[in-house]
Amino acid sequence: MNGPGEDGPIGAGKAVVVPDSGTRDALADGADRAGALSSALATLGMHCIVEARGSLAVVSPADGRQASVASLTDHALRDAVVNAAHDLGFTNIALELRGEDG
Amino acid sequence: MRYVTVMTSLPFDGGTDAPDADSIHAPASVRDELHSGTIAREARLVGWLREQRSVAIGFSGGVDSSYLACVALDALGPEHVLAVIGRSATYPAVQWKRARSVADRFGIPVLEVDTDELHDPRYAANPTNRCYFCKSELWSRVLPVARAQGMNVVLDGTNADDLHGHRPGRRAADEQGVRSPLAELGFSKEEIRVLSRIRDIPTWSQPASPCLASRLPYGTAVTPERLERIERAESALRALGIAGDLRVRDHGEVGRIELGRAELEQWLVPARAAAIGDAVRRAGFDRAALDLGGFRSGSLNTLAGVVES
Repeated sequence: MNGPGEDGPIGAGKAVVVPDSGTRDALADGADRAGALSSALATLGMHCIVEARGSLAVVSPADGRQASVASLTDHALRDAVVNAAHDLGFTNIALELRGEDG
Repeated sequence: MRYVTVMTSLPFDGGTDAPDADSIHAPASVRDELHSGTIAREARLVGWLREQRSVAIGFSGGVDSSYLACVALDALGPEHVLAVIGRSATYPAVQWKRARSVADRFGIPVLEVDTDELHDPRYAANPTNRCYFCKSELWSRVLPVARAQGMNVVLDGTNADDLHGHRPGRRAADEQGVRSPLAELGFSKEEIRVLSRIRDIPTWSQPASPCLASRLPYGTAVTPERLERIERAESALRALGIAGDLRVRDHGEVGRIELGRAELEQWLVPARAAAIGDAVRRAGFDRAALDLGGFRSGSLNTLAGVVES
């Protein structure tokens, strides 16, 4: 999964931030929260890249970790993922959907 | 302005009262859902409508306005009821078809007016009180038409549940004297669904269907192109078989999909998730993402901090 404006792959646990306010503090805060959420999701077995878009977190499975998506059909795990995002100040967390060709 | 009148093909006996539990021709399971308070409430609604003598109803083809129009038709007869559809780019075509279908089925007289909220810069800028400008435009078009048609009162389908939360459109209705009998008489959404089912109104199980602009975060300009992209994406997802609550929220390059909880679990299966991602991208979004929290009415209000999570 590539982050915005990046050409190369991003490894597991990395985080990106898309500014919604343009301030340095907001950028730093978004990056911090994205990184923290990425770590929190890893403890739940979800190895994801997290992109902070203001109050929205967009997550995508790290390369080779597509199988973890299937586990999200379990509502208990999904609730834990959503709660982890809320705990870090995200109002919404969404899973990026890639095509069949990845 | 379009004038399309559908005259009723059903005989009106002028004396249809609200149903009582024993007279309802519905399965026992449905009757069991009714409480005596709900029955009494519909009887009060019938009485209230008869006091008005004639009514125009802002008619979207949604659960509430469909129910209100059907009860009004029974209470007053077709010469004294007019359902007015406001049409604009923010009104989904599929919803318009539903509205016309309900009107045709029950013989509700319909009139359509074009509204032009997109050309109001106060609306197009998409502030948190966007709905106020939209409803101001709607009622400013509906009221003259209703008067010209000899209707005494203009109504909307607001219910009692709608009085909570962030509803700036209410102020526009209040300012222009639009009445909301379902809210005034305390009808909950659930009661309206049950009563609609008894009347065999097909909208009884229909998900809520707010205007397309509700998919845009506040501050993102409302444009025809964005609305069309959202409508294409939602239509494509419906075509895949998604039922129930569905929204595609516009986050610029990302289309964020919200599904009802049961649907969400089904569509998280990888092959199916890929299919809905493809559908949203084909509709014009560069990227697609599925909200893991599922559908939440007014979720962009939460995202924008207008209401608390």
